[in-house]
Amino acid sequence: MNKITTTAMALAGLALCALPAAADAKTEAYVQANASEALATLNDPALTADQRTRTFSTYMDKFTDLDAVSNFVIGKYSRRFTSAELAAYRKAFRTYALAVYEAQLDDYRGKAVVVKDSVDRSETDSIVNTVIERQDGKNMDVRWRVLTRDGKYQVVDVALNLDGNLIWLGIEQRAQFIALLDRANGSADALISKIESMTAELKASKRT
Amino acid sequence: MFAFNSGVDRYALGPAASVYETVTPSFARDRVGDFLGNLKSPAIFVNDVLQAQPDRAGDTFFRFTINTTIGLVGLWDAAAYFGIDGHTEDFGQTLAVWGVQSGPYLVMPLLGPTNPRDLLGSGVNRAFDPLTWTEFAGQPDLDDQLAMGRGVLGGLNARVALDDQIRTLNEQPEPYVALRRIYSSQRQAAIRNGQIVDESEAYDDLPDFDKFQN
Repeated sequence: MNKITTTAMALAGLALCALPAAADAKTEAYVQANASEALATLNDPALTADQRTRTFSTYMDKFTDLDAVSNFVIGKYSRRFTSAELAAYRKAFRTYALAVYEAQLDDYRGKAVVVKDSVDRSETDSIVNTVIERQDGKNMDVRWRVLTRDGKYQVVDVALNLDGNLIWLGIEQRAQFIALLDRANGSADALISKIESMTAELKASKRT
Repeated sequence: MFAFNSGVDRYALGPAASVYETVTPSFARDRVGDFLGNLKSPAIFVNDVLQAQPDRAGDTFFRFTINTTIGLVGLWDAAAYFGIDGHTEDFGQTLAVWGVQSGPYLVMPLLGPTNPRDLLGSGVNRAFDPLTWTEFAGQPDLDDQLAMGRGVLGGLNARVALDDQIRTLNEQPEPYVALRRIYSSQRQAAIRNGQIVDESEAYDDLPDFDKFQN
């Protein structure tokens, strides 16, 4: 084998190794910047409770695709609902999801998101591992599943590592939503009214 | 059965724990927690040994020694100050390490979520507890009364400590499904002593996110 071929192969090998790492670095930077900014919003003393919720919701809309998440958490039922049912469900889910995120992330408000590393499941599906210090001083291991669509990043699920048990919030929600729908003969109304009652409870216990 | 347990929690255990929380300062509850935790050490030690975990067995042994002496009969978790953090083990986990399968998920009255392996494990675990075998001369009922007192106090203390989790569970759309899933995965994590299976395989089972996008 001549020298040029060897060098070319070595370079090609290097490039192959470097490609996923480069994708990783960008995804990592994306999670770092956006997650930190969302947490900063929750901690901004200049905002009233309503302003805080509005700003936070704007961030979440950039950060994630709630329509896609809403389909994911009802699985097969996303194809069984009528378009009117799906629209009503998405509206209810959106309000609920934003309230849940705000309540959940409130424990981490004002804290920095520190990226540890990341793993690519495929070219468009990565997991970014981060550590966030909670308000109570405990470090939480938080993992973000990021998909790339049309060159744009979207966080589609978040996992908390509870003593070695990785809990994906979207997957847990899906198991429960589908169980509820299975019991209710697939009734969209049953799910929507459950979601609305949970949203009401969340809003009642919200920090002012 | 799950509904029965939820009812007991909502109308009996929850309110009792709430009264207990009101009448005791958190300092006292911490001491009760440390004291009762220390009493579990002998059973944890036996299970560490049965799982062939000499380092963890050593930790448990030194913790029990330090906490019983410097920690004033276990009222203070002094060992944690010296950097020896505690862990739990029970015979259900030991059986799992030995390769025994869990069997079906069960919800027992008052005991809550379990499975045949863990149920058998909790019975055997009692046999590892010195208080099970202690008899006081001239006072044949004292050991039973102590065990009962420990059970009630431990239950109330644990219920106060778990208050946030129980509230979160009850806020879930399907608490039964949520508890069943969390119990199973949390037990698996405990059996692995808090380690994720293998970081490189941790994401292999994630569902395809786009399967049900229209």
